[in-house]
Amino acid sequence: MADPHGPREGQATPLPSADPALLRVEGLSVAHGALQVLWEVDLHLAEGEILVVLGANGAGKSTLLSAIGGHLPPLGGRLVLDKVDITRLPASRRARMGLILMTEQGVFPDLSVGENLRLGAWRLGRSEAAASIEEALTRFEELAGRLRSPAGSLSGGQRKMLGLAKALAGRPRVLVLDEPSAGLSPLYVKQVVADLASLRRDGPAVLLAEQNVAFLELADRVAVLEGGRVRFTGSLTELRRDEALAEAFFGLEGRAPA
Amino acid sequence: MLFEFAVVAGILFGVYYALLGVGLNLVFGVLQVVNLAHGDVVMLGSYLAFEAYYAWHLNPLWAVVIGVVPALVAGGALYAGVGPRLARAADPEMLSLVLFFGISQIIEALATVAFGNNQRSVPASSLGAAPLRILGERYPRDWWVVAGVSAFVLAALFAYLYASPVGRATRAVMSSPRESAAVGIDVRRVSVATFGVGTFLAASAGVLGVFLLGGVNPTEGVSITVTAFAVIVLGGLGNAPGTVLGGLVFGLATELTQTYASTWSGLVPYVLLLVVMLARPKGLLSKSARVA
Repeated sequence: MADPHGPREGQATPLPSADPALLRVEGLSVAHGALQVLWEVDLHLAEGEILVVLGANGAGKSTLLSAIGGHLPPLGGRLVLDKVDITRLPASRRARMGLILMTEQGVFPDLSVGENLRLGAWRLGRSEAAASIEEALTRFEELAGRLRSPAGSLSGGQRKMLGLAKALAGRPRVLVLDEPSAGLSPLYVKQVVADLASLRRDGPAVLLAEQNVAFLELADRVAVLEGGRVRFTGSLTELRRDEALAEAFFGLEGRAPA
Repeated sequence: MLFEFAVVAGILFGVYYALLGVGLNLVFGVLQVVNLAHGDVVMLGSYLAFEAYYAWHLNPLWAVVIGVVPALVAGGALYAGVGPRLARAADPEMLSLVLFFGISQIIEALATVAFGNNQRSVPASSLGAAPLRILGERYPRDWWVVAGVSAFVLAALFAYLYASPVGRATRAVMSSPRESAAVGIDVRRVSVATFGVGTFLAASAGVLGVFLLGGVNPTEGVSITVTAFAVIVLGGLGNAPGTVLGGLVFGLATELTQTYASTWSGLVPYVLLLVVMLARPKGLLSKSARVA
């Protein structure tokens, strides 16, 4: 699975033809201005898999997701989506290929709920867009009654719901979520976790960055970022076995087997 | 009766001022750039009306139609040329100010060479002679025609922004460029299209301005940019529908001062600009709870 000594920058790595990974992050290094935030991060995500990236504030989660989405140019390393090198592609091209990043804001506040959904389906053809919006509205019924309201007038929880509905309206192949729990009450966090859980069957592959351990129940695999480096990747059970990490994320009771 | 006259005139001029400002605001909303050459494009539009009337013997309003393609192409090409350089700049706001100030000066110099330094005008009678009456007052016909054409162009603009996919993408970029890229919108192409549309809006305001602004001369660009800027600050920077309100408030304010204290009317744009900047920096329509 995760290979801590994965490919490094500059090293030619022909991908095996039967590569199961839909998205590959290889030796990714990223800086904000003069400050390097990520060092040679290696991650991979298979079709339909949910990978939760855990990390404290400042560990580099948002930077990682921004770089994957195409909003920050990397210093080095590669990004491969379905065997296509996307490292140099702009964010809009990546989105049109089905790599969709839900930012922390997640919506267009000045536009109506309906327009947000239509823009979410921007990459799709007309009839597919209509179908996917319909689907999103069936899943998120609460939004159907508010299609004409500006997104900026929604409550924090509803806005997050719209952000998710908008991202799904684009029928993503890889859905990248930046702290979906940020600014939400515990009740809404539960709701978002349930929404994501309902995606499981033939849903997109999901890469989700969080501090909130409530999202771990969704995870097929977990990666831990610390100081801009991948400190751990593996299953939840393996994470719980690592004493230091388990204590950091679950507190003392975390050491007990789940 | 003086008051009614000033109010109706203020509304007619206000609709025109909305058109004068809306191109500048659209460009600001999408590109975060104050196009200091806006007034110079308006000036070129006025010369186009002048040429249409005197050289080609057309109704000067045809200049609005004649200007569509050249304005879209020239504006789009200009931004396609300078946009990538601006995007790479360490300080894009400052660079764009300097850049568009330079373009403004170049247009002014070229216009002086091409058209001479004199004030030119097109007779209002070219739009029909009979004044129109409302509430017992007579208003020059060109005011009505200009306000009507302005309203038509504004309506077409809003149809574009609210009912076409490119228009929706334009409003998406105005709301959040980053989010737009995240759904797959090519922000650069939207920017190029917007600069083209903004250039057309400025040129069409120029065609009409040859009547309402009292003719045209090559150096008028700067003061027109200031007027347009006052209008869009009133309505809210980056808020296209707000510009209509901004135009109306500006039109009423100038007409009322012109009626009751005409010596002061030149001050109106600057005073309004200051008052709004201090009291409601996000424009008259802004809500305190609005999330950017």
